[in-house]
Amino acid sequence: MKGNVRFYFSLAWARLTYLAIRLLNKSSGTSFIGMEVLKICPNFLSHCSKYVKNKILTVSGTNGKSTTSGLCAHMLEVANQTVIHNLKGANMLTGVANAFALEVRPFKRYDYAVIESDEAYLTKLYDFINSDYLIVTNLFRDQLDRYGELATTAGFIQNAIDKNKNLTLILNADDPLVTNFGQNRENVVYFGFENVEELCDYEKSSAPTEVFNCPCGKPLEYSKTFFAQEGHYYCSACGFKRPNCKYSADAKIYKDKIELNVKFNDVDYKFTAGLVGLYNAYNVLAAIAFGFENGLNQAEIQKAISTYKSIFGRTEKRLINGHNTLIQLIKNPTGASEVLKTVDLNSNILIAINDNYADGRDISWLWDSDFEQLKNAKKLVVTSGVRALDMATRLKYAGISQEKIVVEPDIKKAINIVTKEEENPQNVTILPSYTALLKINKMKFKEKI
Amino acid sequence: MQERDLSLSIAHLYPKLLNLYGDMGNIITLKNRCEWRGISVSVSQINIGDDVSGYDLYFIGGGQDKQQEEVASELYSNKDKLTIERDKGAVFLGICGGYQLFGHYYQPHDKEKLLGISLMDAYTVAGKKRFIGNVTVETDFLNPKTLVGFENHSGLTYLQGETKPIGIVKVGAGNNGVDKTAGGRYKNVFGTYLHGSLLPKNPHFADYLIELALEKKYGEHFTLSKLDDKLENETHNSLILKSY
Repeated sequence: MKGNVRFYFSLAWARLTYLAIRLLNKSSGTSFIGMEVLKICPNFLSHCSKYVKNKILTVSGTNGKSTTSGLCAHMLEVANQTVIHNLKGANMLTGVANAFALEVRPFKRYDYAVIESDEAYLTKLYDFINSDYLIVTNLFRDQLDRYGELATTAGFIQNAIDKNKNLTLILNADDPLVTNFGQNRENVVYFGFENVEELCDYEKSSAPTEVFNCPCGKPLEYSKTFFAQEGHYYCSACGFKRPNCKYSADAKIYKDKIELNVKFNDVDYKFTAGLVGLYNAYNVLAAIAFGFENGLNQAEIQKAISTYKSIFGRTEKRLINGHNTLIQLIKNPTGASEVLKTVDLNSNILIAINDNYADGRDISWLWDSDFEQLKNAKKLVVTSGVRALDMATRLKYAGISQEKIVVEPDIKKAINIVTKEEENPQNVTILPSYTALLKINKMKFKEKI
Repeated sequence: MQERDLSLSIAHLYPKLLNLYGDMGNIITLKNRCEWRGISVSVSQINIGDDVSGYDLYFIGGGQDKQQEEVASELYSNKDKLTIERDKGAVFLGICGGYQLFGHYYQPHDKEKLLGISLMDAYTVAGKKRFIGNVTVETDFLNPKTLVGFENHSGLTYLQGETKPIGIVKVGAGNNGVDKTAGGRYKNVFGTYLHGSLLPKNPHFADYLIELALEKKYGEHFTLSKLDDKLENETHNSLILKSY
């Protein structure tokens, strides 16, 4: 088959398969169709990029990809742009192809594509797609069993960037591993925080602090640290330092919201987001930078931030059996430790840990995450998933008494334990790893009793 | 002597540089299992430039290449002091990168050798392939005999002379993917690629190390009192022979 024929055939196949799956009332997953489409038409994605009129944004980094790209896509939609976006967090090549396969129609053109990409697949993606913007959120340790080391992950992203000369980078200035991508390059936009005030009573983290080295090899020094390696850093040996930000912000982090004051072209803009934690403030700021870069105004951006609903579990609020349930993905030490700071210790807590490929098969990150934050949990703490026992052991060594820990590997049953119908409405916190979250999202629960 | 009259000092070597795969879990486990029995324990973080002498138990974890290089030269400058401690019977546990540095050297692909401190008769060369997966090891000195964990390394470690393996791999690649050996031990020095973390899911090995450290300090053998290890043992058992 010729290229175009192959492409149209794969689109038609995707459509029919999708409808067939719907008719059978089965879930198609988030990558199955994409996987098959790439088999039929290996160049599928380069054909797809012709269906985007205006700009293509890619978002990568270890944490915050889904929230940042979700915010950007939503922002564009609020500004009446049409957008293709792989919003379900399936961010390998097959997941991206899946999103396009279900959206692209032969005679329709989209204004934007917003693509969340796994760090390791970004360079492959750029073989097919010329991206206009790349946001890199941060580089924390994540799934080292897949990529070996952080330096390897950084190398993947650097390779991708080197392939794409016209790319404008939107980089987190507070992360030294991220700003390194911007060195010796034009078309770089930085965002970062000048001041951060955390106006809620977090316990001080006992997670080990790591030394971060400058690209020159010497340890970095900091005049301000926000969390992990994020902060105002400099190297007294070679002069490497946090770059000046085009979008520089002050953040106030409350228990249930974030206030940002963003300075851009010497004008102050105020924003409020109903998200928790400093890590989310970074996601919001990245999206704001992208919005302004694309000519959106403050009202559009604020409207998008206020109406943004995390569709896919990153800080999702649900009503289950009458209980207010907060679901927050945990997947690596830095992200998990930030989430753990925000957990309501008076809530029923469920932690569901799987060790499938997409979770990272190595669960030693549980021991680098600050579960000590939960040691004063008032109620039961239920552990679930394939590694429910490992998680329970972790909690025991974090200082939670054994009597409070309940092990229930079956996730559905575990949710029933923390959301009992007969009990008065209470707060429930669910912390799943990635594939545990996918499972939970497919489950049906009664909202009210 | 009663357990509550005993005390141990633990040195955590270079935790700011080497802390890659849940290494803290090993320290947390040693500390808790002493304290739950009333044994008082102090954990000192040893950073670049600090004195390393005089501890009962030394722990060193794994790190990324750059950090491992930095630690290697610092460790090498303390080689003589640490050799004296080893010969006094101090207990050493090294995981991944730390284990490699207990040997004579680590030879990377394209760089100069990193010299180790020769606490055991072993050496490591960089391999082409990365071994990543679950591991089950069978030992001949622990009860139960098994150790479970997760490996992620490309270095190939070979043992020589009087240095014995900790055990034989039942699942996983172990030291080099060829000779079925896993880890190395000489006197009270133990090194292994198993993390995950290692000690929380192998509480019998944690206790074995604590007993050795107490024996070194007090010159007599103590049998530790039993703890309620239901969760730890169930975790351990659930991982035995878990597929790679």
